[in-house]
Amino acid sequence: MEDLKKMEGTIIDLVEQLDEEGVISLASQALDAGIQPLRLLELIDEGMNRVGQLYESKEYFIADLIMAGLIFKDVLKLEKMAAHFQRSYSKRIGKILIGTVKGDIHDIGKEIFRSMAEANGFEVIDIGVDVPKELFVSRVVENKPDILGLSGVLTNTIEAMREVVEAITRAGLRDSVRIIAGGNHLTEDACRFIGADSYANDASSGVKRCRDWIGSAGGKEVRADD
Amino acid sequence: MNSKYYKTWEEYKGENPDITEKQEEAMAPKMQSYEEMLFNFIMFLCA
Amino acid sequence: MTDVLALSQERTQLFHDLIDGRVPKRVPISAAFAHEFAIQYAGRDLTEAQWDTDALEPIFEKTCQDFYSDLLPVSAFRLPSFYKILGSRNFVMGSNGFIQHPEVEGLALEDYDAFIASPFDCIVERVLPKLYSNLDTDSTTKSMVMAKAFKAYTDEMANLGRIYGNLIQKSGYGYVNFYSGFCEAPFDIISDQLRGFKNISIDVRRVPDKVEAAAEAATPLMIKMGTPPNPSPYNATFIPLHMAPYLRGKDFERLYWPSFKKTVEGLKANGMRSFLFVENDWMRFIDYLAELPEGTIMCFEYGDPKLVKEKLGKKHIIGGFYPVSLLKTGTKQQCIDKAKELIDVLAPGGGYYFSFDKVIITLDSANVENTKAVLDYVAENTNY
Repeated sequence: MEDLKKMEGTIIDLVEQLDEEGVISLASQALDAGIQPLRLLELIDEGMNRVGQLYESKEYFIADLIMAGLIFKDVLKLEKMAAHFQRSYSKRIGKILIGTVKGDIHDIGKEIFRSMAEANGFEVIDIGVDVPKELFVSRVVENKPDILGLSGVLTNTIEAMREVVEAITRAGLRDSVRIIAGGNHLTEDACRFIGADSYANDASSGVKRCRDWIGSAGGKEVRADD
Repeated sequence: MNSKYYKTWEEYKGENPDITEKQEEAMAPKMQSYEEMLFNFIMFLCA
Repeated sequence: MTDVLALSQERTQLFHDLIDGRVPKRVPISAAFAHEFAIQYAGRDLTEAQWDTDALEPIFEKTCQDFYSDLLPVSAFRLPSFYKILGSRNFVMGSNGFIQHPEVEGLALEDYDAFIASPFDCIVERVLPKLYSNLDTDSTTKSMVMAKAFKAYTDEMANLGRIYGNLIQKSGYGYVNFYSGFCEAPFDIISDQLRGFKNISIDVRRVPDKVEAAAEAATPLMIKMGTPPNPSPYNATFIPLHMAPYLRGKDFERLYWPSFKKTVEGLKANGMRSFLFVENDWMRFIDYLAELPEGTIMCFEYGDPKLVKEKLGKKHIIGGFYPVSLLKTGTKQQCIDKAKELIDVLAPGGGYYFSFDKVIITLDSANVENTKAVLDYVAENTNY
């Protein structure tokens, strides 16, 4: 039990330091020593939060977020984790549907956002790139997400995002979903123009905003503490 | 630049000793320009 | 002398003064629209019009007629014909006809050593077949594909060159070309098409020694690539800067900066000034930019114009900062006020030319009336 406690602290530190090999090695050892998969996920999440904070304090940058996302995925691929993660599917704090809007095929920001959102307890449905507004509407109808995320890097995506929000509104779905627009070039003015509820210039602040929304709505299902 | 796929004019001349001085004056700019064009095309394809 | 010729000389003089460190008659203007914008502005279909480059002149001319600029405002960077012949995986037409590049891996992790040993050989042998599916085949077919692609490429470049020349003459633009050469920072050339954004971010953590060596090996290639056949002090080599803002300071200092600085210095030694598109926000690297050879042209996307003017304004030539997004979402007055605000900060003492923070790529990226209004305002209200 003592060993496991020590390991827990080290795992969090190693994630923070982006020591990929160290994390996988120690995580595997911890699983073999009997740590609960959900507990391990909490440790990884804590490490990811620290990475997020280092990003906000401008000590870490996008390249570091990508590395963190990779480490997160690596841990989830470990045998005991993969099996359990599928079973605890229902214990997510909220559902986000994301896609890159029509005319744009960039997906890096969206992928970083997805990793961070999943690490923060969201279920994320990614519908891909160059997505026409009709597909956004039908996927929202199908999946009933709490939040719709629109990603785009090119300047013409402001118009495309506006069209998606308009289509959602015309379909009578606007009140059932919060909409966040993501892209480095976005501004307060752009957000208003698009008609989104909020915007984010990077994945980290986007995930934060989503957490705030779910928090204020009194989150659907809270993950059990071990 | 040390490469199998690019030659300077001097290197090309080295491999083609039959080129006379008179020929060189006439042909060098044109021949070498193709070498340079292909180099730039290849680099553009990965930039 | 004709009016058009006189206009051309006047505009050329504006930019010569700018480049030579004299205060020009007024703020020189370099508007920049992509060929995709020009095609859409002319009411043509992007999925069709990019194939017939012969017919692009009247299309480009419409943009030239309606939007003020001292230098040619339209240029085509990538055209579909040769990419299609090659079976390009890295330059793909989106559903609206706009060419973009998805994440690709032209250089595998195990290819680093070969790249470091001989970058051009590695590019020809290993990278191109990964990026271009029609080159991933037997050598006979490969050579025929290359022949067709090269012919298509040279045809397009010749057509564009002819069109640019005609438009410059017809519209009286200045004879200064900031796109006379093109290359990338060595770290960026390894990142963009070769390792990809995700892989290089991970390489920086996992194999930094290899990244460093690869950037060094690529440097002479970039200097050679960026040096045009006829270097001129009034033209420039275009270098779009990509990866730096996404890296930690220490990684930037070790892996990005040294080879990039060597590249700019190497181009200068070959008689070429660099025109940097400083993408994203370089403010934390501003002191590095101050080290570059005097008279480097820098177009900034985001950042602090006051800080840039203060730290770089005396040594370098500054442009950019004007947000294209404001042209889209703002009122006409807001757009003009923004131009005035930037000019008040950046223009005093010269060393500044007006340009937007990025190329206007499609018709719906900016409100046309706002764009015209801003360019006209700068043309009519910025005498020194």
